[in-house]
Amino acid sequence: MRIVRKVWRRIYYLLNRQRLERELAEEMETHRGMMAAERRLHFGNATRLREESREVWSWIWLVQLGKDLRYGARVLWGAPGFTLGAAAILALGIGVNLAEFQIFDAVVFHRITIQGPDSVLQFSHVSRQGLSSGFPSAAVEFYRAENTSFAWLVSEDTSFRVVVDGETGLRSNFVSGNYFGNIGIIPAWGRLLNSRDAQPGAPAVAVLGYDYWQSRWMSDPHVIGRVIHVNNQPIEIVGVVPYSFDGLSPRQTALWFPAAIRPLLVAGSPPIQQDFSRTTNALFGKLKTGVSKAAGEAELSSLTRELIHRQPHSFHDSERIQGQRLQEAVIHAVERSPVIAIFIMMVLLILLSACANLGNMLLTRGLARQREIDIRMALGASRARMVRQLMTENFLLGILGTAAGPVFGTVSARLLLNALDTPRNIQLSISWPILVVGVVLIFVSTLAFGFPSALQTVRTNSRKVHLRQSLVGVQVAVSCLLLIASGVMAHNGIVSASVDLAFDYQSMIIVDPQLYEQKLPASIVQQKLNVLTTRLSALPGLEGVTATVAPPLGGRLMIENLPGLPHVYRNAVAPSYFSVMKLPFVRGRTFLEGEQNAVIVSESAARAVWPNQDPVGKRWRLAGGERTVTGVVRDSGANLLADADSVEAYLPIQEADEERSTLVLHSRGDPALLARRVTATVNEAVSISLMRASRENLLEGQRKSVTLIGSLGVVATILAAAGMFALVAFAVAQRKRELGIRIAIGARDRHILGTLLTQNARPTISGAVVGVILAAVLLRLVHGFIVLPNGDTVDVAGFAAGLACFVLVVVLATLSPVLRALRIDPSETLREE
Amino acid sequence: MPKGALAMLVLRVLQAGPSHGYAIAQRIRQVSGDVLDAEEGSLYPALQRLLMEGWVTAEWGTSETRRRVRFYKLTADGAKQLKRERKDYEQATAAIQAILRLA
Repeated sequence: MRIVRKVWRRIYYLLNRQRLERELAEEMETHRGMMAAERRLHFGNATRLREESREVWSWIWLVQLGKDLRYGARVLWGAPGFTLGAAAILALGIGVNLAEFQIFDAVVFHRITIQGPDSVLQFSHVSRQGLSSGFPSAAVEFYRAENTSFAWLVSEDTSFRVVVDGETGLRSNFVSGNYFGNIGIIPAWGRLLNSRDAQPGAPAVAVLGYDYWQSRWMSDPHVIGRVIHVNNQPIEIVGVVPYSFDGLSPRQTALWFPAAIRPLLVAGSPPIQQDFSRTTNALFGKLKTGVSKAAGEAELSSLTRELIHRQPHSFHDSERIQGQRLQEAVIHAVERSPVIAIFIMMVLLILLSACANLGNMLLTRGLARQREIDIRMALGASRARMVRQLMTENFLLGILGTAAGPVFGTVSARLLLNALDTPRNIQLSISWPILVVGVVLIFVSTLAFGFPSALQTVRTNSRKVHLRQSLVGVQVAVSCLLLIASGVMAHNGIVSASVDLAFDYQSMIIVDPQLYEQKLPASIVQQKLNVLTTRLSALPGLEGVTATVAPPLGGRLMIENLPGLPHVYRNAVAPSYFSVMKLPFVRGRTFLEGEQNAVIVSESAARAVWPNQDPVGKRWRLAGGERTVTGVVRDSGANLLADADSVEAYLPIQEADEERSTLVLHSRGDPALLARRVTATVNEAVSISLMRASRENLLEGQRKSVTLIGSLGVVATILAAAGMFALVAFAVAQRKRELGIRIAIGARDRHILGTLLTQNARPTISGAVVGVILAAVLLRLVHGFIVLPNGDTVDVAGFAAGLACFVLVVVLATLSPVLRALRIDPSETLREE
Repeated sequence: MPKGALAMLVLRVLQAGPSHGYAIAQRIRQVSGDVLDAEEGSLYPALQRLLMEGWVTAEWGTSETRRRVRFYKLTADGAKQLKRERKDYEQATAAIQAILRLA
């Protein structure tokens, strides 16, 4: 309370300052008048005493601050180039950070627009074989029917793409029972799917995703009741999902179906209550009030054991179910992603680069104002007073940056989200915590980098050169690192996006007869495959048919880890595989019919196992047996897309593997056309997919990360260019007179160039060296994630491209001020003084 | 004459009752002779400091010689402060005297 009263008194004095001063003067005058005439001299200097009294009122610092601010504003206004440059650098560095925070905030914390997301769990099943969040439909239906712990359990399956009236590749989501009603989603138009739609014999219906409704159906509300053909089946549209909802594991969805109609749309799928084959359902549940998470998990685990009892191969033995709060699940996904880690690191580096840039600008500017500062200090300004003045100017710069930063941040966050093609229910909002973080960032960085500069400016010895050189060094190192990293990432993106697949994926169709579902004896499997192959071979437009256990890009992988070697991706294939896939042989031959202990290796495997030797005829221990190499084929590229540290090996299909055989068809014309013919011909349980669609799925994620990192590369380039430009331009301006004199007494262009270029050479070169080393270390850490052509271990091309970009930026930024230096007219420069 | 001592003297004078600037100065001169001799006006910055701390309050009134003057009055906070300062002062003096006796 006393403090409050004290502050209040000060404010009162400030507001009534003039009256109080008058009263004090009157009071003192009266006092003097009352004194005896001969003692009046002893009253003292009334003016100074009044001044002293006013100081007691102690708003002097505020008055001084006001003066500092006004002076600072005038100084900044007087140097608009510097001011705008510094504010832009601050806004850029901080805006990028804000954008990052916004995206992170949006993705992690504001993602789910449903009621009470905190009590919603996503489940995965865990066993010694690992963790998976995909459940078979039959298990989902079983849990839904038998559980007692959950207010609701729902599933969604986004793994299918469907064809609607000839338009291919549309994303679908198959949802269980009363999915929308449980979660509490209100339709944008019509009605959403409910449990009646899931009942046997119910008419086949679908609802549309908002975006698809807008783009394909022109937001036409009359679409409700219309019948469309999905995978050639008539289905009625009954409603539109609202704009703000894209599922619990958000992914843009064109069409939503009841899970129950999957057998209708996907040829050969059994009824969902019996479908154990596809483990692609994500399972979510909301606990009943009063039921603990552990109790819910325990119930699902015991239900799972019951399922294993009924259907032995549905789950691994010892499997248990584990739930994760929806919010946490997202955070974990973010933490796991190396792209996000790299991204966050680059963002912080950009802030560091911006700060070093700014500190350097401030210091250089201090040097340029040396004369003004010397004069003020000679006139009696204390060092502390001068630092305060300079910091006030920095503070003003900080405010400018604060004003511009969030605008820039929001714009770039939006651009990034668009580039990422994120679902609708990720929405950006400027929330208070973000703004506070931004403002704090700006001030901390302005002050942290402004303070040493201000201190150095008022110091009279020569140490400012050291500070400046180390700031230049930091700036160069960070820019160099950022550009190299972006170079490698961009190159990685180009490499994975370019046709690096050695086989003709464009014309391929994968037909999976799913014979392993039926648990048939080997002889019948063989017979069924033969019949199917014969039937398919007769189709027009077909060039060839072959069989493989792990069709490329299909997600089925057999990986063997051998000591001292990259991951060996094994596949079992028919002898005709290579010719049908158009995967060329480099040496040797394919398997003979019935040949068992043979192996065909990829070029990269040959290089890794037998460097500089001919592998054909060599023995190799693989898949539990000694095998002889019969041939070497090109690297298919399919595995390299996802795992840079991989090589390939092909074995003949063993009898035991036969039931897992998948047929690969090479089409002569449009593979989609052939796919439709296949659907029409084969009425058994088969799943058909286009290889090029699988490839696009794979690439999409990579394209997104490259976009993100590329955008950071652009920012890094701008910062590097601005920093180098400022540095050299300042050197030229500062030494104009000296250069003029030297030109006047006969210095040649190369002398001038030499002077200017060597001035910052040491910090620039050492900064660049540090940057290159850091980049090499960083890339070493993430190398498994980066895709490289021809199995190289170091991305020389990307590295070189980044470095070249850096050198180019330095040269371009240096060019214009240096040219200006060469054009200095000595007579004019000397007259200027 | 240290600043703090003047403030203490002023508070001590006001303990006897409200008083105006000139009277305070007279009283201090009576007790301590030459403390305010050199610069009597320095009383006013000191009074401002006391006002600001909330140890005294001021009110305009008329003096015994019918002049408009400001009367200063000790507040409860001021009385407490005087007590505290006296205690500190006495402790310090006692310590100094003890040292002098030893020497």
